Amino acid sequence: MRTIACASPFIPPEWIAAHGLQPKRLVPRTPDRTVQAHVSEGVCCFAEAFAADSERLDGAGIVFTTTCDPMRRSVEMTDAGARSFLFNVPATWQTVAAQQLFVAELRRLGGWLVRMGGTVPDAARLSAELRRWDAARAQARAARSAMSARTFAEALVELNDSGAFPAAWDRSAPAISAFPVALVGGPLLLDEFWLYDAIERAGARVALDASETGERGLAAPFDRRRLHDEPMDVLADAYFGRIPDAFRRPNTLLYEYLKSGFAERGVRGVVLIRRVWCDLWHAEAARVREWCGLPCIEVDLSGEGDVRQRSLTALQALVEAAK
Amino acid sequence: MTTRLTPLTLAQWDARYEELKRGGLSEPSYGGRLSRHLEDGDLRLPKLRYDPSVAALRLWNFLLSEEDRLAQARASGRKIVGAMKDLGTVPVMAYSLPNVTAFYPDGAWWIPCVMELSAGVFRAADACGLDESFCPVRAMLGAFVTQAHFPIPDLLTCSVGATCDDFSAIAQRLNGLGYPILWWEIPHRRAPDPGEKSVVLPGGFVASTAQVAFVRSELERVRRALEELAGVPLDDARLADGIRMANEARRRLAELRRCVYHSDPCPLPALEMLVAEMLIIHFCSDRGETLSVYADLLAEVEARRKAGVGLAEGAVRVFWVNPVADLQVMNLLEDCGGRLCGTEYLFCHAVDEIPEDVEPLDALARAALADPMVGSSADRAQRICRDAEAGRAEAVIVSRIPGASHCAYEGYAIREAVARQLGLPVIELEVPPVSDSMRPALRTRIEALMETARNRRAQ
Repeated sequence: MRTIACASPFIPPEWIAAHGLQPKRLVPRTPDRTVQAHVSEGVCCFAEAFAADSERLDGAGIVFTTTCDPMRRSVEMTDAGARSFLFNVPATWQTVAAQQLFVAELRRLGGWLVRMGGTVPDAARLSAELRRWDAARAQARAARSAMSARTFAEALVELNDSGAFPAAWDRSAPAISAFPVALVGGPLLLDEFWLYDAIERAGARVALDASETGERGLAAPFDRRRLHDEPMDVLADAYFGRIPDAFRRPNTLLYEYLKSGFAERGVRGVVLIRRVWCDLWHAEAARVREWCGLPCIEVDLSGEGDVRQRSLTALQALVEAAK
Repeated sequence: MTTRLTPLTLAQWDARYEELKRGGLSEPSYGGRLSRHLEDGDLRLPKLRYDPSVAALRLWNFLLSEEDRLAQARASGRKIVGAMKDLGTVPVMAYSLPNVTAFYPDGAWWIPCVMELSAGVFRAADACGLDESFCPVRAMLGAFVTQAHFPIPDLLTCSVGATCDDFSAIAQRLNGLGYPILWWEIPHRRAPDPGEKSVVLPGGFVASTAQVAFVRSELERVRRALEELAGVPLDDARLADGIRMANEARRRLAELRRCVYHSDPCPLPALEMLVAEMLIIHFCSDRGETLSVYADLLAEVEARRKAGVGLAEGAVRVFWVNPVADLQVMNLLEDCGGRLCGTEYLFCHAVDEIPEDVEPLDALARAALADPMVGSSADRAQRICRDAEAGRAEAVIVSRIPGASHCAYEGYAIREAVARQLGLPVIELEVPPVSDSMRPALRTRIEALMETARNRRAQ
C-alpha cells in the first residue's frame, strides 16, 4: 500500500485512508548536515527537513500545503514530480467561498490519490474511516491530562499514522503542582521533543501543547449527525473550520483557542517556539506576549547548533521568576 | 554618432533648475526644485544621480510629493483606500470610482532608504516585534504606528494566500494593532489538472477557469466594500472605464520599456526607469497625472533615440529581477558598466494589459492570478527567461530583498532556468535599505559580472 506523506494538520489522514492508501503525518528530523547540504540561506529548516525526509520514503506520495511560503515553495525543491501534490489551504476562513475552496481541494487531492493508486471511496468506507479517526482523536483528548506532554506528542505521531491511539504508552502523569505553561508555536521536529523534557526538568509542565505537532493540530470532533450525508462538509468544518493557526487571516481563531485553553488549563507562563525564517510565528511572538500578559520565553529553533542548555536555563528562569 | 548622457547630482540639478526657470519652464503644481524635498527628510537624495531631463524632474517631483497628495486627498474629503500586497488590481477598481484615491502602503518600504533610516519606522516596527529578520516592508507597520507618512486609509484591503509570509505576518500584526483589514484570498496559481478547463492569463501564464472564478468571487467582495466606501455603485461600466484608463497607462509604460530597454545606447537611466515602473501599481495616487508623466518620458526618450543620446555605448545589457531596497544601487549598476535591458520587479502582471474583451471582474481576476509571485518559481523563471531573451540580455541580476521569504527559494529556480535556457551568467545580490557599508562588495560583484559578460562577447 502506497504511503502518502504530509506534514500539515489540515490534510485529513482519514481522507487518504478512505482511498485505500497509507497516510503518514511525517514529523521529520533535523537535516544531517554531514549528508545533506543546506539548500540555501533563508530556507526554513522544518520545510527543508520535511522535503528531504519525505523523499526518502521510497515511492511515497508527498502532500505539501500553502500554509506558509517555505512549504508552498518546497514542492519545487523535491524531485518527486508527479508524486507530489500542493494542496491550497486558504488563508481566509470566514467566507463560504473559502470553505468551498477547501472542499474543492479535498476532491482534487482525491483525484490525485486515485492517480497514486488509490480508489474512490464509497459512502460506507468513507464514513467508516471518518468515524475511526474521530474516535481515535476523542481517545487522545480524553487521555491528555493523564499523560506527560512528550508521551502525548509521541502518541499523536502514532495516531496520525495509524488512526489508532496507542494503548501501550507510559501514561505517567506530570505533577499537578508543577508550573503550568503553554507551548505555543509551529511544528517541532522529531528530535526537538527534548523540549518537553526540558520544560519538566525546569519544574514546569506543559498544560497546553499549542504547537502544530501538539494538540492544537488535532481536528475538532466531527458532527456525527452529518457524517453519512455530508462527509466532505464535516471534514471541512472539523479541519478547515476549526484548527487555529498563525497563518489564518484573520488569525483570531488562534487567540480564541489560546484564551479558552489558558483559562481551562490554568496556564501561567508561555514557551513560544519559533524558527529563524519562520516569519508567521516570529510576528505572533510579540503579539502573544502583549495579549496574554504572562511571563513568556522564546525558544529559537534554527536546526543549527545545540540550544538545549540555553533553553533549559531560560525555562528555569521562567519558573523561578513566576514563584 | 551618439551623445553621452550624463546624470546629474542633486546640487547640479539645482543649478539646472534655475536655468530652466529662467528659460520659462512650466511645471505642474507639485513641481519645484528637487532639493526642496530634503526639508521633508529625504536625506538619500544628495547621494543619488538623476537624469537631466525636464521629464525626469516631473517624475521625481511626482514621486516625492505623494505624501502631500494623499494629505490633500484626505483634506478634500476623498475616500482613501490602502490596497496591500496585490500590486496592481485593487487600485484599478478603486480609481474607477469618483472621489476615491488608492495607494499601496507597501510603498513605505522605501522610506528607510529615502530618509536614510531617520524616520524611525524601523524602530517602530522593532517595538512591535518585527525585527530585521523581516523584509524591509516592515517599515509599513512603522509608518502606520508613527502616522507620519500618509493618512490612515478609510479602507484597507490585503490579498493573502499565495503571498509572501513577511507581508502576511506584517499585515496581521497591523490588524492586531486595531486596523480593520478586508482580507481577500489569492490562491496559488497551479497548472490545470488533466481535463480541467483553463485560460491563458495576461502575460502568458495559464490557470484553471475554476481558479479564475474563485478570484472573481473574492474581487466581488472587494467591489462591494469599495461601493460601500464610495457610496456609489461600482458597476461593470465604471469598471470597464477604469480598466481602459489603467490599460492606457500600461500601454504607455510598455512602450517606454520597449524604447528604453531595447535601444542602444540606453536613453533613460536605470533609476528613473525603476521609479517609472513603480508608478503603475497605484498610479502614485493620481491616475491622470501618471499618464502625463509617462507621456513626457516617452517624448523625451523618443527624442533621445532620434538624436542618439544615451548612456555609455556598449554597456552590458542586464536583466534585473526584484526591486532594490536602496535606490542608489541602480546608479551603481551603470557605474559598473551595465545598463538595464529588462526587468521583473515582482509585478509584471501590473505591466501587462488587462483583457477588455471579457466581463470586467473576470478580467481583473485573470490579471490578479497572473501575478508572478502567486505561482511557482519555475513559472516566474520562465517569464524572466522570455523577457530577458527579448531584451537581448547578457547577464541577469537577482536582487534579494533581505528577509523576504520568497528570495530563499526562487533564486535557485531563476538561476537554473537562465543558465539552462539562455546560458547567461546570473548573480544574486542582497541589497539592504541603506547599502553604503556594502557598496564595495556590491560593486565588486557587479563589476565581476560585467567583466564575465564582456568576455563572453569576445568568445
